Amino acid sequence: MKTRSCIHVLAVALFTVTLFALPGVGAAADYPSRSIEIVVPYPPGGVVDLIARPFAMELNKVLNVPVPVMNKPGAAGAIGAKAVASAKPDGHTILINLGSMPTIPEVDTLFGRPRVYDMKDFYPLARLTSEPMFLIVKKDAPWKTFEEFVKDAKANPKKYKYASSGLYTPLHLCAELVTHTIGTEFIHMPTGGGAPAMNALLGGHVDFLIAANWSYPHLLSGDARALAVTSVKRSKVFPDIPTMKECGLNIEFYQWVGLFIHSKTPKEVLEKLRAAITTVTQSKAFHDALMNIGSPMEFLDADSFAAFMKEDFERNMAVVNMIGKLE
Amino acid sequence: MEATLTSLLMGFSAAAVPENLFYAFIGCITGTIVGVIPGIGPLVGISVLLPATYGLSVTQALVVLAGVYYGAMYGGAITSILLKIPGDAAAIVTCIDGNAMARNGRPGVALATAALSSFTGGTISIIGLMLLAPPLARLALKFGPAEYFSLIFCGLIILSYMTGGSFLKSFSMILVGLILGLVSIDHMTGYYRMTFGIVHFGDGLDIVAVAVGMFGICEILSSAGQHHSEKVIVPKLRELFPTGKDIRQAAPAIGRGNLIGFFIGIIPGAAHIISTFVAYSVERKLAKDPSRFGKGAIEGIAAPESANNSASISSFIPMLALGIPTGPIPAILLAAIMIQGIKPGPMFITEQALTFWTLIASMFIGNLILLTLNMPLVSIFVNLLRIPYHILYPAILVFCVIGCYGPKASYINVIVMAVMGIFSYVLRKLEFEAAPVILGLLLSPLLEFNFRQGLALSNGSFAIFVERPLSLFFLCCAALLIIMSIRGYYKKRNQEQQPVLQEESV
Repeated sequence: MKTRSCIHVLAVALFTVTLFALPGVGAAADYPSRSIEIVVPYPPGGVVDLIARPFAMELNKVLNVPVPVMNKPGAAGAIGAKAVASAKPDGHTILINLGSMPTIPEVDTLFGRPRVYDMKDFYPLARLTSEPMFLIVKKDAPWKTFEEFVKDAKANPKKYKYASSGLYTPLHLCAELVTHTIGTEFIHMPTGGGAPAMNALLGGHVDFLIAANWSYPHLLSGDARALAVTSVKRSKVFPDIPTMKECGLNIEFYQWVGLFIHSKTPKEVLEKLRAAITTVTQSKAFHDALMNIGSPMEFLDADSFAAFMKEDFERNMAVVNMIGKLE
Repeated sequence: MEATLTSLLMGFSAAAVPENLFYAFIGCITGTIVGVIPGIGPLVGISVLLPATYGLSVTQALVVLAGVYYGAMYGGAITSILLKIPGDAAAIVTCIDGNAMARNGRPGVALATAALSSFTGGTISIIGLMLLAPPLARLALKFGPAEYFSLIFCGLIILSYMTGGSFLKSFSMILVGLILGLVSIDHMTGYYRMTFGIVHFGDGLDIVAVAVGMFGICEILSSAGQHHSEKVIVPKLRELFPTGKDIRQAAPAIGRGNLIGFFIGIIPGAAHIISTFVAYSVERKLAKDPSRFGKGAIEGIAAPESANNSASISSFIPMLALGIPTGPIPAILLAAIMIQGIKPGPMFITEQALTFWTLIASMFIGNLILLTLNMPLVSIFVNLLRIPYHILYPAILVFCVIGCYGPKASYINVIVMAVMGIFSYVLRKLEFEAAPVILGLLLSPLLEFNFRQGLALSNGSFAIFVERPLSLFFLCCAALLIIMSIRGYYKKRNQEQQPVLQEESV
């Protein structure tokens, strides 16, 4: 009995090992030769995760390989980024990340600690969405227009409070940009994420908030009002909200989601992948999925994306340097 | 009231459709399995099922995912009771008295009590959700950082009653937990604290890894260290179900646990875990004979199980009523709704009335399914104990490692689990308790973060904690508890001195 069960176990083990080895056999030449993994460096349920999953489903249809989505959260996106930077550069691991990605290594350097990852480790594949931020207040706030708010803030420095999703996050950076452009001071309360920041506003614990997606349901229901938007053109979803540039403040800020891959990936693989991604962005299903989340598609291919990132990075770094090292 | 009943009936008629029943069933089974496997908790189960729900309707998606959540609250108790290894963090407290009762030869009673308490706690909580969702959600919003700090501080005082034995020993363990909880990125300044260069620790020590290590690995190490082979617990058939006396004893505990879980569930944070600790402490404090706790007191199973199911249901309240998630699990459910194109938010209950009431009805049905599943399975599960430990424990060890590695694909978590396991083993030899460490670990980030956020809001003034009425209320409660405790101490000392005086006068 014992010998039989031993052989049984051995057989199952051998079978399992073979299953794992099979994809490797006869692999090499053609891309993609096995499943492509999309790494989301945040916990499930966030905006990046919500965009990654429909994208994965469409990519699976275009390339005919499984495209699993893996969540590797931690350290404001750094852990997931590091995982992709350390993966094999054969085009089978893609990172999807937020606009805060380029600033995190700079913040590391600012604090004098070794960088968890560096932007040179990555090749920018595509930008999927790009959203402007809204300045949001509670529905019973005293300000009806953005100009009123600016005047009040200038006259009363250090009186008004805002919440953010954490230090050096897009919500914080944008708010600091607004603070410095107006020329006043606000009290900043960092929270653990977009949702707690929204809670803080709705509970009346802070006076305003700069945010994007988390606010949409509350803007639509009327619990909160947007006073201005940080894009150059008015938002398609909320066309009544004036842009900050219209109101006289030279502010432009976007929260975007993009795809990255290891910088050492071979050129032929990159070409194939870029073509596949372009096909995905033309699919109606993906468009609809993004509209449902409230993040309309703003696709930029690799080269335009790299140019946009450079500009965006300079904008963000200007704010980071303005803030400096927070004690 | 009438409108509520009509809506509920409408919900039941939609939920009782075979398709929806099927999805509720899937959710419950997955939840139970996920709850049983140590290390894998409801969060993992829900994250894994989320993509599969894209093809389903909103109602079906919600029904499945909610089923996983409260199903896991049922399942976690099973390994806690039988093996003293928590299935998930919300089942840690059940290990204490649950396993003691099992070793006394009444594992069936323990399992059945857990199932019944979970059912009662869940069902009453659903009624609360149904009737009180919008006003309660608005109340939850009133909690700012100052209120949270005072609430948790008050909770910490209550929780000091959790363990018997030397106060100094349990207090020092809470301190260890509080210090361990400081390992993280400082949210206010961005500095890494006590992470020793390990980036993974930026989000703190994973509570699941620590819990599984301190309870699971420790248990395995302890039994491995015994010279004789453990006598397998042979359950007696007659004692598989609770007696009338047991139920009478457990009933008030279930009620109290229910209330505690319901209100704690609305508060952001690890509600379902914290509620179990609070419920246990309250039972211990209120019991006429606290020495029964730790040796198989039925209240020690009934109250935490009722609390964690209650909290898992009430954690949906802010999400459904306002579109605000209070933790990672409601956040994923929110994502499941959003990706279907439905906007969650304050209008959800009125605009999506059918979805809301179908969800409520399916929660009732789901709880019933779980009860009917678990009660007969008690006799089957109990036979797990017949497997000799030297075969069972290595299998459990494999699951523990998978459970700690899997969710975040992090081998660091496995190392944390191992180190905490060894640490806990040393503690056990020195007769210290492990549960307070977990408590400190949970509460430390909440206490510190809210305290500093409160100060940030008030621009440095400590007055914010007494100026805001809710915060002042909780601080007064805490002060009252401390005063009562000191009085109790002096009373006891006087009582001990009385007989001596009487003897002397005679």
